Amino acid sequence: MLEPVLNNLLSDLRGLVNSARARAAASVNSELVMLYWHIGKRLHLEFSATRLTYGEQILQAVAKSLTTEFGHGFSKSSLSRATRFYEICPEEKIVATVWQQLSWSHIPELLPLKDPLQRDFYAQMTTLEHQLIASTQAREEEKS
Amino acid sequence: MLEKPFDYTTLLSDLKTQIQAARTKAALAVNRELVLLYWSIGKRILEQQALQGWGAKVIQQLSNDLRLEFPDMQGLSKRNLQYMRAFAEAYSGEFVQQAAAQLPWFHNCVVLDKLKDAQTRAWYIRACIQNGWSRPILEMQIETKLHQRQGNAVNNFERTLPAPHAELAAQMLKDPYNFDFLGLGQEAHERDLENALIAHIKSFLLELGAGFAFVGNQYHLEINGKDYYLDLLFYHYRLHCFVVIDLKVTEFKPEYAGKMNFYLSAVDDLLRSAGDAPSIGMVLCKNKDKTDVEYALRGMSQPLGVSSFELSAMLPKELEGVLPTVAQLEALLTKNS
Repeated sequence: MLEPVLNNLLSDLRGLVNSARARAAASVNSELVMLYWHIGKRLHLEFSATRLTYGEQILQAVAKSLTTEFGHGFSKSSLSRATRFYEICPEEKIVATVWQQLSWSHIPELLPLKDPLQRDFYAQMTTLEHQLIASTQAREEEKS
Repeated sequence: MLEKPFDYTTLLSDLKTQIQAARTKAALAVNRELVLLYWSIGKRILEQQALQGWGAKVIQQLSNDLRLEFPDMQGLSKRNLQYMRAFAEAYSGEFVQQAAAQLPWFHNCVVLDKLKDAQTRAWYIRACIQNGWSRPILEMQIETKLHQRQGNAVNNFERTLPAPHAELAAQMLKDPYNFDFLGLGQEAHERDLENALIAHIKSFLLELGAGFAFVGNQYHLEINGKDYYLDLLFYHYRLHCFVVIDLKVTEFKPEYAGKMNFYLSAVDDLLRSAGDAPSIGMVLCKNKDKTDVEYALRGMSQPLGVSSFELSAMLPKELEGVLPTVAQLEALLTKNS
């Protein structure tokens, strides 16, 4: 009677792979969010400190250089989005606790919200939703 | 108040350093998860084998089932499952957490293969983390018995290991297992391969001496506020037109035609001046077992006024000798694998 035991083992391993994947993706994602935040901060400070009037061209040149070296996550629009991200959420502590748990692709959806209270609320709700989905999935996997 | 002078070079190099550091940290985190996962899988297999008295055949069955389940993940071969089993047999979970998970998986396989003694294995793992050896260097150190040459300096290692070297992290970044594990495999792979191929194609076309002038790689176009990057852009001074090259490290897909069409229209709108002929596109597709080259030419066989580009795997007679033939390009791509 090999089948049932093997199936158990298999579903066990499936769970291991999925949770390891989720953990790895979460670490990569939070690295990415923090990276964009730091890039945004650097660009913001650079441009406001030097009061650059030709910021657009510089952003363009930076985007080109970074894209050639690192690939497509650093286009001009990504860089301006990173700058906006920093301007809207300049406190590293808040980024580290709440925003890190969102994926970078959620953040543009949240950026247009002008009111900081509103923004934090939505960010927290999305995080909560994330946890809910995860725990529901975990429960269902236990059941099955 | 004096304005701080703007220093572009510093800005750029700071950003690059930041990106590198984030990449290194991400690579380490992913690698760690992967190695820990392999250990847990190995552990489960060991337990079940002991419990059920299973032989080697079960591992093959398990490998088949897992590959069916995770088709985009490498590292589920029978051979690798056996490595996982040996890995779990060799080390405690604690040691893997602290040390072995800081090395790429293949480094760990080398240690498992070449060394049998637990203490010696631990010695090389720690030494490797401390020195950031590449896999060939690690093999060489083992073969020349570095641990004997250095005496039993096992205690020289600090209890908490230093952060791994950047070189090791770079290897983790290149490790296809890590990317496939995240389901990002292809994208990351492609970048490396693309860069190499682009350099190769560029020099090939320039050496062809048939009138290609290099305009740029990753050439930026802004269209409706969005950024687009052309892999390679040339100007052909005998045909008096721009030549756009799009490189794909996959097999040819129909949507590439649409994309090339879009690029060519954009280049015609933004760059082409009155005396220039319509732009020409080349879609070069190369994956492991197949090479596909398609030319995109505007309305060669169509009535005037139709502004769409046609993809063709044949070069029209009148362009032979001026542009490289499909066969030439395919040979170039195949040779480069």
